[in-house]
Amino acid sequence: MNDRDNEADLAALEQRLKSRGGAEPSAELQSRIMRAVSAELTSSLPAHRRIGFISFAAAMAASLLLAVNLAVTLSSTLLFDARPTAARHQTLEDASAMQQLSPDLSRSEAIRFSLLLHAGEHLTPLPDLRSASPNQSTSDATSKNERNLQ
Amino acid sequence: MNPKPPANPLAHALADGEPAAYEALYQALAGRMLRVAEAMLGNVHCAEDAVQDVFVNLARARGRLAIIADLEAYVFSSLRHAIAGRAAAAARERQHLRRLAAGQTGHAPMLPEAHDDLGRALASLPQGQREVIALKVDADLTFAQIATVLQISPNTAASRYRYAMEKLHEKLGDSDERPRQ
Repeated sequence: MNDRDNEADLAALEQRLKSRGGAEPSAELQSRIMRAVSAELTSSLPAHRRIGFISFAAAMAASLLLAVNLAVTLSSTLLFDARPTAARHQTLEDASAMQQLSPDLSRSEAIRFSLLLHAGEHLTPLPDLRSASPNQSTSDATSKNERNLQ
Repeated sequence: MNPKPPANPLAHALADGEPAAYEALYQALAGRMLRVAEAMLGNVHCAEDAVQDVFVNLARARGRLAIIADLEAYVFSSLRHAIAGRAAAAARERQHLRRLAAGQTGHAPMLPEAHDDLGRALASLPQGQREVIALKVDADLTFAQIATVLQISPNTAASRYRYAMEKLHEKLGDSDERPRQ
Protein backbone atom coordinates (compact mmCIF):
# COMPACT_ATOMS: atom_id res chain seq x y z
CA MET A 1 0.00 0.00 0.00
CA ASN A 2 1.45 3.35 -0.98
CA ASP A 3 1.27 6.62 0.99
CA ARG A 4 -1.64 7.97 -1.02
CA ASP A 5 -3.76 4.89 -0.31
CA ASN A 6 -2.82 5.12 3.33
CA GLU A 7 -3.86 8.79 3.49
CA ALA A 8 -7.17 7.95 1.84
CA ASP A 9 -7.77 5.10 4.28
CA LEU A 10 -7.07 7.33 7.27
CA ALA A 11 -9.33 10.07 5.91
CA ALA A 12 -12.10 7.51 5.38
CA LEU A 13 -11.58 6.20 8.88
CA GLU A 14 -11.78 9.74 10.30
CA GLN A 15 -15.00 10.28 8.38
CA ARG A 16 -16.35 7.02 9.73
CA LEU A 17 -15.50 8.09 13.29
CA LYS A 18 -17.19 11.44 12.79
CA SER A 19 -20.33 9.94 11.37
CA ARG A 20 -20.50 7.46 14.23
CA GLY A 21 -22.16 10.14 16.34
CA GLY A 22 -22.58 9.76 20.04
CA ALA A 23 -24.66 10.80 22.96
CA GLU A 24 -26.43 14.15 22.65
CA PRO A 25 -27.00 16.12 25.83
CA SER A 26 -30.51 15.74 27.10
CA ALA A 27 -32.75 18.58 28.25
CA GLU A 28 -32.68 17.07 31.73
CA LEU A 29 -28.87 17.32 31.77
CA GLN A 30 -29.01 20.97 30.75
CA SER A 31 -31.43 21.90 33.52
CA ARG A 32 -29.41 19.87 36.07
CA ILE A 33 -26.15 21.58 35.11
CA MET A 34 -27.70 25.06 35.02
CA ARG A 35 -29.21 24.51 38.47
CA ALA A 36 -25.81 23.47 39.83
CA VAL A 37 -24.12 26.44 38.15
CA SER A 38 -26.60 29.00 39.47
CA ALA A 39 -26.32 27.49 42.97
CA GLU A 40 -22.55 27.88 42.71
CA LEU A 41 -22.84 31.44 41.40
CA THR A 42 -25.19 32.57 44.17
CA SER A 43 -23.70 30.67 47.08
CA SER A 44 -20.06 31.62 46.89
CA LEU A 45 -17.73 34.47 46.26
CA PRO A 46 -15.36 33.86 43.36
CA ALA A 47 -12.26 31.99 44.49
CA HIS A 48 -9.94 34.86 43.56
CA ARG A 49 -11.94 37.26 45.78
CA ARG A 50 -11.87 34.81 48.70
CA ILE A 51 -8.13 34.41 48.24
CA GLY A 52 -7.81 38.20 47.91
CA PHE A 53 -9.58 38.78 51.22
CA ILE A 54 -7.60 36.04 52.98
CA SER A 55 -4.28 37.41 51.74
CA PHE A 56 -5.33 40.96 52.72
CA ALA A 57 -6.23 39.79 56.24
CA ALA A 58 -2.97 37.84 56.52
CA ALA A 59 -0.95 40.87 55.37
CA MET A 60 -2.73 43.11 57.89
CA ALA A 61 -2.10 40.66 60.73
CA ALA A 62 1.57 40.34 59.75
CA SER A 63 1.97 44.14 59.58
CA LEU A 64 0.31 44.55 62.98
CA LEU A 65 2.55 41.92 64.57
CA LEU A 66 5.62 43.56 63.06
CA ALA A 67 4.58 47.01 64.30
CA VAL A 68 3.90 45.74 67.85
CA ASN A 69 7.18 43.85 67.86
CA LEU A 70 9.12 46.92 66.74
CA ALA A 71 7.41 49.16 69.29
CA VAL A 72 8.15 46.75 72.15
CA THR A 73 11.75 46.32 71.01
CA LEU A 74 12.28 50.08 70.72
CA SER A 75 10.79 50.92 74.09
CA SER A 76 12.77 48.22 75.89
CA THR A 77 16.18 48.73 74.31
CA LEU A 78 16.33 52.40 73.39
CA LEU A 79 18.63 54.54 75.55
CA PHE A 80 17.11 57.87 76.52
CA ASP A 81 19.15 61.00 76.69
CA ALA A 82 18.41 64.68 77.00
CA ARG A 83 18.29 66.64 73.79
CA PRO A 84 21.08 69.21 73.43
CA THR A 85 19.03 72.18 74.52
CA ALA A 86 19.31 74.62 77.38
CA ALA A 87 17.53 72.17 79.70
CA ARG A 88 19.95 69.34 79.01
CA HIS A 89 22.27 70.18 81.83
CA GLN A 90 19.43 70.39 84.31
CA THR A 91 17.93 67.11 83.09
CA LEU A 92 21.20 65.24 83.53
CA GLU A 93 21.73 66.79 86.95
CA ASP A 94 18.26 65.69 88.05
CA ALA A 95 18.98 62.21 86.75
CA SER A 96 22.17 62.08 88.81
CA ALA A 97 20.26 63.25 91.86
CA MET A 98 17.69 60.50 91.32
CA GLN A 99 20.45 57.92 91.06
CA GLN A 100 21.95 59.14 94.30
CA LEU A 101 18.58 58.84 96.00
CA SER A 102 17.95 55.44 94.48
CA PRO A 103 21.22 53.66 93.63
CA ASP A 104 19.36 50.69 92.07
CA LEU A 105 18.07 52.94 89.31
CA SER A 106 20.01 52.56 86.07
CA ARG A 107 21.39 55.62 84.30
CA SER A 108 19.00 55.30 81.33
CA GLU A 109 15.99 54.87 83.61
CA ALA A 110 17.06 57.89 85.68
CA ILE A 111 17.36 60.00 82.52
CA ARG A 112 13.97 58.75 81.35
CA PHE A 113 12.33 59.75 84.64
CA SER A 114 14.11 63.08 84.54
CA LEU A 115 12.86 63.71 81.01
CA LEU A 116 9.31 62.86 82.07
CA LEU A 117 9.67 65.18 85.05
CA HIS A 118 10.77 68.08 82.88
CA ALA A 119 8.16 67.30 80.25
CA GLY A 120 5.51 67.83 82.91
CA GLU A 121 6.92 71.22 83.85
CA HIS A 122 5.02 73.05 81.17
CA LEU A 123 1.62 71.54 81.82
CA THR A 124 -1.04 74.21 82.02
CA PRO A 125 -3.13 73.96 85.18
CA LEU A 126 -6.86 73.78 84.46
CA PRO A 127 -9.44 74.79 87.03
CA ASP A 128 -11.82 72.05 88.13
CA LEU A 129 -15.10 73.78 87.38
CA ARG A 130 -17.22 71.03 88.90
CA SER A 131 -15.71 71.45 92.36
CA ALA A 132 -15.62 75.28 92.25
CA SER A 133 -18.73 76.91 93.75
CA PRO A 134 -19.39 80.55 94.88
CA ASN A 135 -19.89 79.52 98.52
CA GLN A 136 -16.68 77.59 98.74
CA SER A 137 -13.84 79.43 100.42
CA THR A 138 -10.39 79.86 98.89
CA SER A 139 -8.76 77.89 101.65
CA ASP A 140 -11.09 74.91 100.98
CA ALA A 141 -10.16 74.97 97.30
CA THR A 142 -6.47 75.15 98.10
CA SER A 143 -6.62 72.21 100.45
CA LYS A 144 -8.58 70.20 97.88
CA ASN A 145 -5.99 70.95 95.20
CA GLU A 146 -3.24 69.82 97.55
CA ARG A 147 -5.11 66.57 98.20
CA ASN A 148 -5.50 66.01 94.48
CA LEU A 149 -1.81 66.60 93.90
CA GLN A 150 -0.88 64.22 96.66
CA MET B 1 6.29 42.11 19.86
CA ASN B 2 3.36 39.69 20.08
CA PRO B 3 -0.03 41.32 19.64
CA LYS B 4 -2.32 41.05 22.65
CA PRO B 5 -5.03 38.39 22.13
CA PRO B 6 -8.47 39.89 21.51
CA ALA B 7 -10.73 39.97 24.55
CA ASN B 8 -13.32 37.19 24.54
CA PRO B 9 -16.69 38.71 25.54
CA LEU B 10 -18.07 35.30 26.53
CA ALA B 11 -15.11 34.69 28.84
CA HIS B 12 -15.64 38.09 30.45
CA ALA B 13 -19.35 37.42 30.94
CA LEU B 14 -18.49 34.04 32.49
CA ALA B 15 -15.99 35.73 34.79
CA ASP B 16 -18.69 38.20 35.83
CA GLY B 17 -20.93 35.28 36.79
CA GLU B 18 -23.71 35.92 34.29
CA PRO B 19 -25.97 32.83 34.12
CA ALA B 20 -26.81 33.54 30.45
CA ALA B 21 -23.12 33.18 29.59
CA TYR B 22 -23.03 29.70 31.13
CA GLU B 23 -26.14 28.84 29.15
CA ALA B 24 -24.40 30.02 25.97
CA LEU B 25 -21.27 28.03 26.79
CA TYR B 26 -23.41 24.95 27.39
CA GLN B 27 -25.15 25.38 24.04
CA ALA B 28 -21.80 25.79 22.28
CA LEU B 29 -19.77 23.01 23.86
CA ALA B 30 -21.88 20.55 25.86
CA GLY B 31 -22.50 18.20 22.94
CA ARG B 32 -18.83 17.89 22.04
CA MET B 33 -17.83 17.66 25.69
CA LEU B 34 -20.28 14.85 26.29
CA ARG B 35 -19.03 12.90 23.27
CA VAL B 36 -15.39 13.21 24.39
CA ALA B 37 -16.28 12.21 27.95
CA GLU B 38 -18.30 9.24 26.75
CA ALA B 39 -15.49 8.14 24.44
CA MET B 40 -13.05 8.26 27.34
CA LEU B 41 -15.24 6.87 30.11
CA GLY B 42 -17.38 4.46 28.10
CA ASN B 43 -20.45 5.36 30.11
CA VAL B 44 -22.92 8.13 29.37
CA HIS B 45 -23.90 8.68 32.99
CA CYS B 46 -20.29 9.13 34.10
CA ALA B 47 -19.77 11.38 31.07
CA GLU B 48 -22.69 13.59 32.11
CA ASP B 49 -21.29 13.83 35.62
CA ALA B 50 -17.88 14.85 34.24
CA VAL B 51 -19.48 17.58 32.10
CA GLN B 52 -21.38 18.84 35.14
CA ASP B 53 -18.14 18.88 37.15
CA VAL B 54 -16.56 21.11 34.51
CA PHE B 55 -19.39 23.66 34.55
CA VAL B 56 -19.51 23.79 38.34
CA ASN B 57 -15.72 24.21 38.52
CA LEU B 58 -15.86 26.97 35.90
CA ALA B 59 -18.46 28.82 37.98
CA ARG B 60 -16.46 28.28 41.16
CA ALA B 61 -13.17 29.58 39.72
CA ARG B 62 -14.76 32.08 37.35
CA GLY B 63 -12.37 34.89 38.30
CA ARG B 64 -9.57 33.45 36.20
CA LEU B 65 -11.72 33.06 33.05
CA ALA B 66 -11.27 36.69 32.03
CA ILE B 67 -7.58 36.14 31.29
CA ILE B 68 -7.98 32.88 29.35
CA ALA B 69 -6.70 33.22 25.78
CA ASP B 70 -8.46 30.17 24.32
CA LEU B 71 -11.67 29.43 26.22
CA GLU B 72 -12.45 26.27 24.22
CA ALA B 73 -9.05 24.74 24.94
CA TYR B 74 -9.39 25.73 28.60
CA VAL B 75 -12.79 24.07 28.89
CA PHE B 76 -11.50 20.85 27.34
CA SER B 77 -8.48 20.92 29.65
CA SER B 78 -10.90 21.13 32.58
CA LEU B 79 -12.89 18.29 31.05
CA ARG B 80 -9.73 16.20 30.81
CA HIS B 81 -9.14 16.63 34.54
CA ALA B 82 -12.78 15.89 35.33
CA ILE B 83 -12.61 12.73 33.21
CA ALA B 84 -9.47 11.61 35.04
CA GLY B 85 -11.23 12.12 38.37
CA ARG B 86 -14.33 10.26 37.26
CA ALA B 87 -12.26 7.44 35.73
CA ALA B 88 -10.39 6.98 39.01
CA ALA B 89 -13.67 6.89 40.93
CA ALA B 90 -15.17 4.41 38.45
CA ALA B 91 -12.07 2.20 38.69
CA ARG B 92 -12.37 2.12 42.48
CA GLU B 93 -16.06 1.26 42.16
CA ARG B 94 -15.36 -1.53 39.65
CA GLN B 95 -12.66 -2.94 41.89
CA HIS B 96 -15.10 -2.97 44.79
CA LEU B 97 -17.77 -4.66 42.68
CA ARG B 98 -15.26 -7.24 41.46
CA ARG B 99 -14.34 -8.07 45.05
CA LEU B 100 -18.00 -8.40 45.97
CA ALA B 101 -18.78 -10.54 42.93
CA ALA B 102 -15.71 -12.72 43.44
CA GLY B 103 -16.80 -13.32 47.03
CA GLN B 104 -20.25 -14.41 45.89
CA THR B 105 -19.72 -16.31 42.63
CA GLY B 106 -16.00 -16.58 42.13
CA HIS B 107 -16.17 -14.64 38.83
CA ALA B 108 -15.57 -10.99 38.09
CA PRO B 109 -18.50 -9.20 36.45
CA MET B 110 -18.22 -8.41 32.77
CA LEU B 111 -17.74 -4.77 31.89
CA PRO B 112 -20.00 -3.32 29.17
CA GLU B 113 -18.45 -3.77 25.74
CA ALA B 114 -18.76 -1.87 22.49
CA HIS B 115 -21.18 -3.45 20.04
CA ASP B 116 -19.50 -2.55 16.73
CA ASP B 117 -16.00 -3.35 15.47
CA LEU B 118 -15.04 0.34 15.40
CA GLY B 119 -16.05 0.76 19.04
CA ARG B 120 -14.15 -2.38 20.02
CA ALA B 121 -11.05 -1.24 18.12
CA LEU B 122 -11.22 2.18 19.77
CA ALA B 123 -11.65 0.64 23.20
CA SER B 124 -8.57 -1.52 22.64
CA LEU B 125 -6.34 1.52 22.01
CA PRO B 126 -4.19 2.90 24.86
CA GLN B 127 -5.76 5.77 26.78
CA GLY B 128 -3.46 8.45 25.30
CA GLN B 129 -4.33 7.45 21.75
CA ARG B 130 -8.06 7.32 22.47
CA GLU B 131 -7.78 10.74 24.05
CA VAL B 132 -6.16 12.42 21.06
CA ILE B 133 -8.69 10.84 18.69
CA ALA B 134 -11.58 11.97 20.88
CA LEU B 135 -10.24 15.53 21.05
CA LYS B 136 -9.77 15.71 17.28
CA VAL B 137 -12.83 13.84 16.07
CA ASP B 138 -15.45 14.29 18.81
CA ALA B 139 -14.40 17.71 20.13
CA ASP B 140 -13.36 18.99 16.68
CA LEU B 141 -10.38 20.85 18.17
CA THR B 142 -7.42 22.09 16.14
CA PHE B 143 -4.00 20.58 16.74
CA ALA B 144 -2.98 23.82 18.46
CA GLN B 145 -5.90 23.46 20.88
CA ILE B 146 -5.18 19.76 21.41
CA ALA B 147 -1.59 20.74 22.17
CA THR B 148 -2.84 23.19 24.81
CA VAL B 149 -5.12 20.59 26.36
CA LEU B 150 -2.47 17.87 26.46
CA GLN B 151 0.39 20.29 27.23
CA ILE B 152 2.48 19.16 24.28
CA SER B 153 3.62 20.87 21.08
CA PRO B 154 1.22 21.13 18.11
CA ASN B 155 3.58 18.95 16.02
CA THR B 156 3.56 16.26 18.69
CA ALA B 157 -0.24 16.47 18.86
CA ALA B 158 -0.49 16.01 15.09
CA SER B 159 1.94 13.09 14.99
CA ARG B 160 0.30 11.46 18.02
CA TYR B 161 -3.08 11.70 16.28
CA ARG B 162 -1.73 10.23 13.06
CA TYR B 163 -0.07 7.37 14.95
CA ALA B 164 -3.29 6.67 16.85
CA MET B 165 -5.31 6.62 13.62
CA GLU B 166 -2.84 4.21 12.04
CA LYS B 167 -3.09 1.93 15.07
CA LEU B 168 -6.87 2.07 14.88
CA HIS B 169 -6.71 1.28 11.19
CA GLU B 170 -4.46 -1.70 11.89
CA LYS B 171 -6.79 -2.99 14.57
CA LEU B 172 -9.76 -2.69 12.26
CA GLY B 173 -7.81 -4.56 9.58
CA ASP B 174 -7.01 -7.30 12.09
CA SER B 175 -10.64 -7.62 13.11
CA ASP B 176 -11.74 -7.74 9.44
CA GLU B 177 -9.24 -10.50 8.70
CA ARG B 178 -10.18 -12.50 11.82
CA PRO B 179 -12.81 -15.14 10.95
CA ARG B 180 -16.17 -14.42 12.54
CA GLN B 181 -17.59 -17.15 14.76
